[in-house]
Amino acid sequence: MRLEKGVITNTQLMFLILSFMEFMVMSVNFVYSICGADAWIAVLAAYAVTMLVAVGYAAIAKSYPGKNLVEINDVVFGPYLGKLFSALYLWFFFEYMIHIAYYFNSFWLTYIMTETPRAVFVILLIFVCAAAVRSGIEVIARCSMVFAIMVPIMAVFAAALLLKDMKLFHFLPILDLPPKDFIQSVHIILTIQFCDIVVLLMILPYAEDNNKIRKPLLIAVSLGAALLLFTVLMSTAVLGARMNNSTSVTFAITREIDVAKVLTRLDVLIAITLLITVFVKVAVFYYATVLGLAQIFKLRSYKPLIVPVGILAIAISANLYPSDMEQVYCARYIWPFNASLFEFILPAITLIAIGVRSLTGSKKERNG
Amino acid sequence: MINYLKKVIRFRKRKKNSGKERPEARQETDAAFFGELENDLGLLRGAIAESSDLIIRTFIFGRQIKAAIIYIDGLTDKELISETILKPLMYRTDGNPLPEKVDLEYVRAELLFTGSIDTKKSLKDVVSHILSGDTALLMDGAAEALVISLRGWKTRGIQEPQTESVVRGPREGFSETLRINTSLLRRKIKNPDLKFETVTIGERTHTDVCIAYIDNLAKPELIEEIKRRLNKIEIDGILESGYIEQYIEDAPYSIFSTVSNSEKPDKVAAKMLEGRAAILVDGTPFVLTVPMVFVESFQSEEDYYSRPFFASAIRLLRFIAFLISILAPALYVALSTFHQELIPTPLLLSMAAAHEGVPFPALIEALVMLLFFEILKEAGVRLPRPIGQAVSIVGALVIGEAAVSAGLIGAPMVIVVAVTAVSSFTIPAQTDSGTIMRFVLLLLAGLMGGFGISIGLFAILIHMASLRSFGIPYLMPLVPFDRSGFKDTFIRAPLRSMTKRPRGMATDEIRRRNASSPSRQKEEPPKVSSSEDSG
Amino acid sequence: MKTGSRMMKTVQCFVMIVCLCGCMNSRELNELGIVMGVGIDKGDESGTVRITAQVVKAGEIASTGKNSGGIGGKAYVNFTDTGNTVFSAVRDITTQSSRKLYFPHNQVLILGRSAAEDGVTKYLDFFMRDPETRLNVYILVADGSAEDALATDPQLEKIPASAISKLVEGEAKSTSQAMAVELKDFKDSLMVKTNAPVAPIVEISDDGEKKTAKINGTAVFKGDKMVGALDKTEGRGLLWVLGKVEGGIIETTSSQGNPVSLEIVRAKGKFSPELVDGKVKITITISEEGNIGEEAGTENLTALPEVAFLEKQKGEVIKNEVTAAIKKAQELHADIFGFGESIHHKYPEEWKAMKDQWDELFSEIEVEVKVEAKLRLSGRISAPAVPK
Repeated sequence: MRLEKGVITNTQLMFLILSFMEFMVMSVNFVYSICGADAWIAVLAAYAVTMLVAVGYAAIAKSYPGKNLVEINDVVFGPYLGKLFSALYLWFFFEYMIHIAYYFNSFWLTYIMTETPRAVFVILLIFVCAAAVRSGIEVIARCSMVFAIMVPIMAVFAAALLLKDMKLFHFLPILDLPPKDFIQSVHIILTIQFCDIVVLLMILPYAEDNNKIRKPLLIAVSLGAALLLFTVLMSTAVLGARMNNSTSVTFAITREIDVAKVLTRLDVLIAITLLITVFVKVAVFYYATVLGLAQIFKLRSYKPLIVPVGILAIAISANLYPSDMEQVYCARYIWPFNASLFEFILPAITLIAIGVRSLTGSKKERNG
Repeated sequence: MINYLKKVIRFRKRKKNSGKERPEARQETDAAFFGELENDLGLLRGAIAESSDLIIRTFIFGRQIKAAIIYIDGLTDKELISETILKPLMYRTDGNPLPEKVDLEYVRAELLFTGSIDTKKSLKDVVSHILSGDTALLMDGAAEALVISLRGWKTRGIQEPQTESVVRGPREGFSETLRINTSLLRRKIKNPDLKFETVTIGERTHTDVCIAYIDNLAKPELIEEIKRRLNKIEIDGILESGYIEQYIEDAPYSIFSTVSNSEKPDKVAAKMLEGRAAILVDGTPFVLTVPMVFVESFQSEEDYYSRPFFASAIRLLRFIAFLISILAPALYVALSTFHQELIPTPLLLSMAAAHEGVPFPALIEALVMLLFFEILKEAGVRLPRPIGQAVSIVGALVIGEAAVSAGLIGAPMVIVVAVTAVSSFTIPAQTDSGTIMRFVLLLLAGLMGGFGISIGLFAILIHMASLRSFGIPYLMPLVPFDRSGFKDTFIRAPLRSMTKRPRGMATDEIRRRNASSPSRQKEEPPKVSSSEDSG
Repeated sequence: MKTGSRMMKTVQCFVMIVCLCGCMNSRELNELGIVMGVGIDKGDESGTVRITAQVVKAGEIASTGKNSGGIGGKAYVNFTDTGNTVFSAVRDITTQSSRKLYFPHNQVLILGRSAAEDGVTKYLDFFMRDPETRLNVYILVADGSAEDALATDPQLEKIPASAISKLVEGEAKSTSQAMAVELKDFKDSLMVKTNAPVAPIVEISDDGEKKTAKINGTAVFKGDKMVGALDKTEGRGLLWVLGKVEGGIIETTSSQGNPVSLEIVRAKGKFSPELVDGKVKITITISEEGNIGEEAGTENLTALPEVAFLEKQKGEVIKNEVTAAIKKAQELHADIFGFGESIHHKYPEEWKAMKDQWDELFSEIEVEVKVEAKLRLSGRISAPAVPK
């Protein structure tokens, strides 16, 4: 029985994906200290790979229209193995959600309100996301349309104000990196920034026209990549060498804005952007987790699960890492490999299995 | 524990029996008339409570035929009664006698002069017509009654509405009488498809409620839904359209209203032309229109009568004013209490200077000022007009000034609250929700600073995104993006380019507004001296 | 549970969370000690640092002048304390100040001479790390002690720190003889090994009654220690090369030998490196436009040959200033211009070899200065007011 009765149009889907990806504008900080001024090249490389991966995701979704990831796993791998895979995916989504909530929490604690108790921001964030999840995917899609437009506008606005501070020589010298660092940064950007759209496999079936999913997906990925590239270029142009020891580059940029001494101190722009992007991201992951859980346990509705999952999320994310430095370390060295499993390897296995099934299926048809 | 159970059982029993314990209703049965005048009159007197304005006038006409007219004094046009009912029956010259056998049908078809006459068999019908202002005619020997519509009572007359005045545009406003309101709508829309369907709602008041719509424009599902919701209303009395609004709206517990209302016929007519339906309630000039979307609160009918650039600028201004009115106090408190680093240095220094001697935290200052402003507003409505001026001057200027000089409140706070107050009046349709949002955001700002405001705004956005008004999403032209509707939200595109009705409102076939827009026909430049080229 | 009561409970939880946790970071405006200027001096005992914080007295600042300070009503207070590190000294100041120090509106960061010569990285780390401080504060070196610099008379302003920050800005715009350096630029230079950071010098002049601050010269750092200073001419030379001259006066003589002051309206400057036979050659191109500001003689300077002569003179003056700056920098072995970085950008391979010897190589580079100076307007009069 279909747990989610909402339907979103393809345009809304595109905006949803776009606003979902916009969080990467903030989280790209992890990469700067590895690749420095060449981050933009890494972004381009990651984008190229992502397009292929996105086509793969769309293929998975298209081969079983109307079924989301959990259901696909059930069909492709059989009831037991499929549920195991789904459970693994759900764990991944939940983990991701917690990590982002932690990042959000620590950002506000570091920069803006330093003395508030640790868990407060997370609590309120999960609260609001729970309200959104409860109202269903349609509401999330509608809100995300508004946000998808706001973030690029703010980025362009900030860039316009920073034009006078941009210096092209900050980009030189180009590709002064050892290849190992470059590959590592591409890997990080790929897994953290781009390919978490795997969670969209849970949502794609609720779009209006299941056969035309590929186009909005690819367009959204391209727009998102363009936004990220724009931000990275802007950050590099403005900050140059100082990027290497900033804990949050995007924040450092907005602190630079100083136009005629009037338009100054616009840190709030970053705080709002962060809030918006984190909200969409957490809402989508939250929704996917809750929906998937409800499907695995064959519940009639996912609503009773919202509160328990939320409380778990708050409890774990408030104390996820003992310190911010550990999170940065994990994001750089550990998480990419963890995420690769779920973003590349498992979907690849699924695709292969689908291919095998369709081959054997058509063979059966021909024989029988 | 046992006491609690007993209470619960008693409570449940009481609820079950409440239906049966009504006082003896009057004989509102489908009793038919007897045919004997005296008995019929006795029935009627039993059905309608003895009252000094119930007039029963028995008379004899023709060849000793006994008859009676029954009407309520004050609801009928007495001159017309005597002219069109009594006179033709009773005033007969010898040269124009009545035939031998005169029955009710003959009276109805050939004798009475009035326009609308109905023949009714059941007592209930006749009683409700009499109470609505019609006149009933009972004849000895007839088992039916004639119901003649000669309503006439004193009304307020058509005046400019006090709550919605315009600079340019018609100044007619709806009145309290249903028939006058329907006539005003008819005059605006002279379309044979304009339909009025009347129902009666209210157990004891039997108020007439009329659904108005344009037959081929409005969605049949919408009308069905409206009728379904109206039929579900169980209430003693409908005194104002607000009662209906609260019963039929989609989200009764939300702070946002999903049913719009207006006092002006041109506004209602414009909405009907987009495919909406209007609900007119007898006894109030406020007409409801459904469905409603959020951006309607920012649209005024005057925008369409002025030119596009100016109208667009004013629209944008209204949006900005709305944002100011809900965010200004919250932003001020958040910035001055949590985020002082975001304020430019010279401004911060003067704010700090102003705040020096003030004993209260900024949040308390803001709350007190806002509260005081709401009190002023409420008092201003209730006061008799001569005193109103004095109160506003005293309240706003003197107390504000004095409070600042005494050091109770900082000067910037007075400015912020004044700006908020003035901006809140630009959007009349959202004053209620705006006030609540203002206070909630202020509290959140005082407790959590910028984060609190953001969370509050998110919660509001999520709530608005989940609202629907009769099937249309509340954030319609913005969020399920509708380009034709978008031309009418933040800006007001020139009328020529607004060629489609908003999506989802009207039936899908008829989305084009102007079948032939003048801009399509380009004039050919006058052919002057073209013959010279060849020459 | 009915929906209504469940919602009430949710709302109650929400309200409790927000009320109980939220207020911790709220600071009322009258609890803030707004810091406008910070001075860093080397402490009396070795290994200590003395911090001076200039805090605004908000009540006195009110421009309506309701409580106009009157005689001696200062709008600021200077708090001084000593500690082992900057942060400990700053926190210690709270034992003296009734309000917690609030840094986001800090305007200037003054390093005393002793601190500057001691190596500034350890002093500046706090200001780069703490989220409250901002990187767009002006950084200066005081001729004596920073504490004295912050105690000078503000003259036209109300607070010495804002007076000094306006001095720096005005200096950069009007005379361009010392560079206005923000902490972020200083940090940029610090992070590149071959670059030498600079900062303007504020001089405290004491004329018996009161002390006033003046901007005079530019301090040159090598690594993070101050090693020397550029005077006004050399300071402007640096600005010519970097293209940061925004205004000022060039004093030269006319063909008759009378002094002429030419106003600088706009100037552009850039440099590019070239490797010629393994040796570094830097080409500096400067273009400048100006007007005739004042002449002390009687000749008509608007005659075209005069104009050409003056332009040539101007070019010479600029060239001399630049050469003086380069010479001084080479004396101090400090690459204040960023020549090294430009070679890094253009010739990354060769730079790897040259990087470590840059100190010596810097003194041996060949510099070619090309100046194009133009004279545009002559003001309101053409010939001076003398009889024909």
